[in-house]
Amino acid sequence: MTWTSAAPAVSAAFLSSLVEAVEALTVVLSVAVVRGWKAAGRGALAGLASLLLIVLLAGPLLGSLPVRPLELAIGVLLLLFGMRWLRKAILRAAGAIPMRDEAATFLAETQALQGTARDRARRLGWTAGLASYKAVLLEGLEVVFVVISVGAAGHLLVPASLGALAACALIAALGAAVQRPLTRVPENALKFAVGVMLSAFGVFWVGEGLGVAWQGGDLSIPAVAAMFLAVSGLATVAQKREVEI
Amino acid sequence: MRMTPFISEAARALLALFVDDGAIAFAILAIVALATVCATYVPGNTAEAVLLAGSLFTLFANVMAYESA
Repeated sequence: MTWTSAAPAVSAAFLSSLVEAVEALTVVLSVAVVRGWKAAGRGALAGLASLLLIVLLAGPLLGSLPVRPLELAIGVLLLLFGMRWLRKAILRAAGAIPMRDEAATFLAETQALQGTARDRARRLGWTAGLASYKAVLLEGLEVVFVVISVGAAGHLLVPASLGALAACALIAALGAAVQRPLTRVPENALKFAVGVMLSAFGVFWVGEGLGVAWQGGDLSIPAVAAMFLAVSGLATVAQKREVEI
Repeated sequence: MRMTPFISEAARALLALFVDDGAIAFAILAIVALATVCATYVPGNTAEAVLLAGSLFTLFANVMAYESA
């Protein structure tokens, strides 16, 4: 393992986890406000347990697959995933689609749960716990995918997992301290950066899977990322002009 | 608890991890297919160029084709 290959993988896992943890925290907090920390915590812990199970099942399975097809499959999925994030981040940065608003999401989730409270008081505990579980599971699935894909293809599963866990612990600690949605986290800038990195990883691993000999080996990942960054910057400026017209 | 809506919601969420806009997803798969053909039949760095240039062009073109409501 070299620093040049580990640093992008750990950064991608850390930053993507930061974004997803902020989004999951918003829902968990709204559950805690309506139903208390017990229901929110139970749901979140069950979600984390499900994610751990997925990692424990998927990790050894990936290790038993042939390398080239695995690199190709992971590369394609990373390209699809990374470019999806990057496209959305560019459109948000350009003003073509609205930015994600954690405060608004928190309000909507809280109101939805309070509506349930009025309608079916007995079922609220279950519904609230399930909302917390779903938020952690669904947002966490993206983290698990990033960790497994950037980690498994480059034999960096442990450092990528540590990067993701560090981000989750950081957001959980911040959430417990402030007890309100983390609206100041620059989610779109983070998504933009992660999208650039994952798209670069995707291109690299598809190439490796096809037997392409990248000039510079692992060092070509930052070079490809720089190209994605340049094109994304250009696309943001151009789309912003379109929006302003 | 009704499990079917939850499972279908989870399946939709899983698909949405990779496919948001169908056009960009289709274009990426087409580029990978073309790069695979190039890697198999065309010597040199053609597959590498197709993959990289194709992905960058697809991203730019898809963003520019977006029209906000």
